[in-house]
Amino acid sequence: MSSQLTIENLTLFRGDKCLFKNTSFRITQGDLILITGPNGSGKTTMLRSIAGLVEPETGNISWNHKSISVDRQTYHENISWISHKHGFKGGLSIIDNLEFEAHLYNFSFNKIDDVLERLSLSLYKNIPFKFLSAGQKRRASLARLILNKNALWLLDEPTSNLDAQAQDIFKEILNEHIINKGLCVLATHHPEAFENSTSIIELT
Amino acid sequence: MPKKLSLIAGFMAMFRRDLLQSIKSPSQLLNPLIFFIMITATFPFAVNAEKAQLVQIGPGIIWIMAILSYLLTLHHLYLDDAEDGCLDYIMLSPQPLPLLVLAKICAHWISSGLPLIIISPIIGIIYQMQVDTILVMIGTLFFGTFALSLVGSIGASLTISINNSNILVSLLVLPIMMPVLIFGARTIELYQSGATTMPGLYFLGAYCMFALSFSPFASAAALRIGTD
Amino acid sequence: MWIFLHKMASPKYFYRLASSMIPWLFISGLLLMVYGIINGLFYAPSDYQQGDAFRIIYVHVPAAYISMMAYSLMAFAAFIGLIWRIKIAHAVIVSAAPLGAWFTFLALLTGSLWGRPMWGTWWEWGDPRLTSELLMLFLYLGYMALRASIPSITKADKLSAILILIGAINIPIIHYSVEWWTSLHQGSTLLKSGGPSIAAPMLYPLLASIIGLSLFFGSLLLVRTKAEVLKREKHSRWIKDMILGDEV
Repeated sequence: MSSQLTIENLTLFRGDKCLFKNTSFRITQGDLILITGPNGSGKTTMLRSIAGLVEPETGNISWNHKSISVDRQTYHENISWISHKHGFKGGLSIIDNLEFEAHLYNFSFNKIDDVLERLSLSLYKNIPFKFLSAGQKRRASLARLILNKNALWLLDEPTSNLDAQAQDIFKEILNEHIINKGLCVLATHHPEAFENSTSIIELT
Repeated sequence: MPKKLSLIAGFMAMFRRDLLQSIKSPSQLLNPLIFFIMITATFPFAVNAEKAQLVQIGPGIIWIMAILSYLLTLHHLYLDDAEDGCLDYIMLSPQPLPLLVLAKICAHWISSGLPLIIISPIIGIIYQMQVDTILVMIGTLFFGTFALSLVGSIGASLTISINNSNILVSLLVLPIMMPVLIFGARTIELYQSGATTMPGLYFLGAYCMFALSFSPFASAAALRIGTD
Repeated sequence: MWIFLHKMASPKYFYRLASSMIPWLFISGLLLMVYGIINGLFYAPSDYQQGDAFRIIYVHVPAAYISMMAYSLMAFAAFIGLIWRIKIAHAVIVSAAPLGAWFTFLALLTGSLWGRPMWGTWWEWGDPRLTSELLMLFLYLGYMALRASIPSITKADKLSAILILIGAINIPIIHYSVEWWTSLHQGSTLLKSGGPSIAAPMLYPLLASIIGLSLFFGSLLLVRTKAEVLKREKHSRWIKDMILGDEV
């Protein structure tokens, strides 16, 4: 069964400013779509509207030909989301945080140690999240992607705060996902870092 | 093979996490409680009341102060999660948002309402209440704080996109909470003058049920609209 | 009928319709009110129980009626605006709120003035009807406060619509408060099974007052809504054409 995200006639305003008008595109398995543009151009807003967090002025977003506002649950079962903010509670450890998300997102918790090993976070897994460095926090956030195994990845600048080594690990993870017929929409300041992208949306 | 989505697991996970969170920030828990104790305890001095007067005004004061200090705790219900990005993850989860909202409301009630209920007998003694009156007071506060969590959640979710919304939440929630305040305080007073408590408690219970039926959905809708 | 309602959803059509309706509503409302108040104040017979003090009924009841009617209108519009996404409904709610609040205040004020000679008190705290009407004033104010705090218009529309719907439970509470609880306030006089229990020479000015004030309220509401529509649609073509057309 092939997965497909269809976006039709998306128009979005931020106050009086029109971010994009009547944008349409389609994403299928193995696609990597990059969203680029200067700060404030609407990359995050576009990602959020694809995720369904922001309601667009006009437009339809469909997952496998079913509108996401009609069948929200199915859509949510297939998304992995990474944003600027990490979405982890500072007082809890990485393990506690991920365990919480495992119940919320219905993914298995078994491989957690391997995943944290891969992201070089094994030493920090029981420390309260707020004591981690920015890079470590970002890597912890990326752990979701591997654990969750969802088809559609919506990522907002996933490589911010990552050193070169961590960025390579991330690209590895991303490539595995794409090769395994995953879909990805990625907002970034550095489109040149992702050579295997299918297409680039440039916002001004 | 993806396992079936368990609503109970989702509810319990959200409930447990929020409860853990409140335990880890004791000041958020304790400050409103201390506020409640301090003001109810100093009221008799300010009013310079006689013993008989204290018995009369006690239920009303305790109820008002319980509501006011409880309103202080509502502020954090969704704002904390909005600040660190957790709210996005809660809203994008396959679990139904009203269910997760209900879990948050229950956790909030346990962490903020139960301490209030447990402290209230001490305040009751300050206001010269008899033991049986204190039991009635606990009964009314039990329903009242739960109703306040439910209705307060609506106020908190409506104001999530507003900075410094503390007062506004109170402003929005108080009119809807007025029946609870009236019935709660009156039931205690009526009991003190010999009437039965059951009608009042039934009303409070019914109000809770009614609020339970729409508050999670209204809060979920307001959250989705508010986080744009 | 449905085509008419569908057309009403368009701001441009609504604007034109409102413009033509306002003078009719205003004048008929004013005439009915004048008839009602003059008759009520001078020509209706004195009440055998309350003497002449009862005459405040000709201001109090219409104001109280409109305070509830305005909120019901707002709740209905909130429902339409949220479920069917009809934008003009939100413009109506915004415009109705301050009017409704003022009428609620007027009802409370005139009620208090009436209460003093009748019940011996300006206000009775235990009374369910007085309390729920006061609650209604707070609901109006809460709505306006919420709107004022949210800069984005679409967000403010939707969130405050939810708030209005939640508060709508107060309307039946106000209406039935005199039946469900013991109250100082008298029971229903007009909307009773068995017909109104008030003498005809007193009844007609009262009805005229109520209907007249409602029509007047309608005209005020339409004027405010027109202004609100202009504010919201300021970028659209038809307003530009309308203004330029006038200048030509």
